[in-house]
Amino acid sequence: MKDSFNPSIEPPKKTVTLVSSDGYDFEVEEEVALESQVIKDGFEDKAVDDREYLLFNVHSDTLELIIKYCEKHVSSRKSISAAAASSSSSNGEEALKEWDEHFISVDTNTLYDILMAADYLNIKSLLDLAIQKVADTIHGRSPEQIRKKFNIENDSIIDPWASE
Amino acid sequence: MAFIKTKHNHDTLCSTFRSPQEGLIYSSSTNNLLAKLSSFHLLPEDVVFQILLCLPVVSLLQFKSVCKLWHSVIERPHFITQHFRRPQADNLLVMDPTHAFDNFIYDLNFSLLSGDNLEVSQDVDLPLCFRERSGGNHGLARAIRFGSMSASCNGIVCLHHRPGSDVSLWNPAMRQSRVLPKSPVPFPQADGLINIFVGFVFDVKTIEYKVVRFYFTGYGLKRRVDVYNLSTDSWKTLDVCLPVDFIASDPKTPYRDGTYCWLGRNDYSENPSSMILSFDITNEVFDTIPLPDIYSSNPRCSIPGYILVLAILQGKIACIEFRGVSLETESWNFEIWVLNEYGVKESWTKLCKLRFGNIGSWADPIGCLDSQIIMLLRKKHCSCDPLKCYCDRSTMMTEMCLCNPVTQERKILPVHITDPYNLKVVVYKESLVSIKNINDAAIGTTCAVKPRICFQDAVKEQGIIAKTISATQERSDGLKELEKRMSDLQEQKQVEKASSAATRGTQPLENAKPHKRSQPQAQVGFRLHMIPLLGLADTLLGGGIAIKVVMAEKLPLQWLNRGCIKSTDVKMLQPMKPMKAAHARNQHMQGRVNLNNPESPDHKFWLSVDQRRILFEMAFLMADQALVTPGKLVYDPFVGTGSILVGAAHSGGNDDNVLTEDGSTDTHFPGHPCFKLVAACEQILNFR
Repeated sequence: MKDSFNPSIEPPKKTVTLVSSDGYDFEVEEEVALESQVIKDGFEDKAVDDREYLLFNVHSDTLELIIKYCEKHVSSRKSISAAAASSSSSNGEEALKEWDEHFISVDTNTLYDILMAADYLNIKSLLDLAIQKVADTIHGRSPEQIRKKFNIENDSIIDPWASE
Repeated sequence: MAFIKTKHNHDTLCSTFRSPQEGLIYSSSTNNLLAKLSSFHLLPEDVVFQILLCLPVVSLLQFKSVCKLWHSVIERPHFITQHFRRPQADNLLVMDPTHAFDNFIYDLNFSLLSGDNLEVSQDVDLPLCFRERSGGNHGLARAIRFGSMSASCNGIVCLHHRPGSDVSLWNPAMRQSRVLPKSPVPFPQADGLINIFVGFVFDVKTIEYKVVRFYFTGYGLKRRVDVYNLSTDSWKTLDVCLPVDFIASDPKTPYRDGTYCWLGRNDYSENPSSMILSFDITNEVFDTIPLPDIYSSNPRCSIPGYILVLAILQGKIACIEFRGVSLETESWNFEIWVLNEYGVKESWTKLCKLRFGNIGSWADPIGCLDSQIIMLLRKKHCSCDPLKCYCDRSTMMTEMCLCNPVTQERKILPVHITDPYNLKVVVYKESLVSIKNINDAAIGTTCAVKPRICFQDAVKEQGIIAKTISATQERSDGLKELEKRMSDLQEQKQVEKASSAATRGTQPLENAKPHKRSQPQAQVGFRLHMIPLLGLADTLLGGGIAIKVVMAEKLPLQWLNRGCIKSTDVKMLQPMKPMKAAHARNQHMQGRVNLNNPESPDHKFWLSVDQRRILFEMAFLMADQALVTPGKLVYDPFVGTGSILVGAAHSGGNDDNVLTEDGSTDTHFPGHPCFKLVAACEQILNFR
């Protein structure tokens, strides 16, 4: 994926550098980075040539996933609005939903990382997606299973109301 | 679309610190550590909150026991409110009495229609207040009481028992139900049919749930309205002159928060007419809204079988009137009027006409679900010409349909109906609102703890029956009154003791010992049982409900009502002598006590096994209800057996809790202090 980016062919776009916790630089387009409310909030105050963000809480593996997600959403938003302008019917939203579904089907640890990163970067749609995924995962399980799966310590007392 | 990932030489990166204003917020902790601890209990509370919001009530009830954070999130009033308001489709709760009458035992079937298109039908457990008590031959599935669903609001269904005037509240999702107390004022006796109607409203302004009950009898001569307030748990008779003498139709749901509307009739007046009776719950005032002109003085409205149904259609008051069967279209015709602006007669507009069913069938509108009308359609099995058929009507088949009045679309609902005459349907959304402490969990903005009843004849011969106190203001008065009564009682007892001692000559040692002490100390002995209940109200700093059971000769009724103890358990409790307990405490409770072991010898000294079990169970319940968490201060003055402290310690989850008599706590709480236990009575009194 990184090989496809070639500034000599495409017109240069404004980019932002995101630095992951383990020291990787991610150069992403501005509008992709602006999916994060946190980046957006501080964006205007920063100088144009100093748009570098240190994300100490996000590992490079997670950051890669999150940038993938944001890029997909930015591009499909464009295509959906283009389709709406030309009044041609498109199933872009459904396709995006499917893509989201596929994207979030990850193991528990990755899901946790995405959830934390989405919360940290304040990407509303991704946070909602991850939260819904976690809710779907735990729905219908017993408290014991949940504690085991999510590595939660059992610190509760016997709850007589719960068994009612 | 692409991004570049490059490994940079960021040796100095982690040591670089930039202020949050400059860029992003970040923690300086090592990232590897964070990566390793991918455990969900580290999730921020607001994320947990959001995750739990997505789950249905039945899961949440289970998940309370996952961990303490989850438990506290689920119990939070704000969570309960948000959970109810989350986007969830309206469900229908259907009550179908299978056999109306069989040897005073009824079969009531409740089913819940859920899903986006109400396509899922599931049975709902009978509320406890309807169930037959154990020991019957019919199992738990059969009802001992008959009743109907009168209203539904915020996930709570109001049930009206028949015959009689009893009302119950029921939260089907939480499986909680409660029969409300009887009104202190008996209903007047009168000739004629007695008609009782019930409504249930949530008052947003005062955050209270109220039940409204009409009582009409004596051919319209006697009319009465009672209002039950859940926060005070009491009935009140309203001093109003009702303009109607019969409720012809009930939408079974409030018009909006704080206002309930019925279709009323005054059949016994000179000019019989129909009107909408509205009730403002905050001010407890009735008002009337006239119907569209063509209905209000319609002579047909007094004809039996005339159908004019009041419903809430898309948040507006709507009238559905039966306009007769049309032979051309071979269908039943209904006309639907909507009141666009509340209280303004001119804003009645005719929405549309609804054609439904066919000539051989029978159609009944029974309510509204959002923009659709719920209809009952009764069809005959026979295939005769509908105009000439005289087949038995009792073999008719009934279907429930949802009808869109604008598009005339209809959809048959998957519910089996046996008795269309007694069938009741309410629109229902599940909620976590608890009926047991409904005030704390009101669907509203914030919740305020209201003062409850204080000492009501609390002093009995041997001890005190504890009452629930949850307010501070009444406490000092109560304390004074109690002290006075106790000292009176003490004097009286001294006199009795003296006289009996004189007659009998000797005294058992254990009884005599405390009395040999000076007068003030004997009084302290009595306070021993008074302060805990006062103390605990203070105590439970978490702002939860404060309950302390004092083991007197009689077990407080509150506990029975709360359903904590089964009646069989109560029998095992033997009367306990307060003075004896105090004495035992002095001898045994010196020094450290291991709170984590209920079986430790320190707790064994004067209770039987069963008594101890119940005491500790109760202590756990109390600590739980008081929302004891780490960091909270728990006072248990005059630690008797220390059971409360054991319970509290378990709630707090600390491993090394110890308590001392003198209240010196510092050295005994290594690690994070869960509780500081202040035990000495003088300290408590000074503190207060």
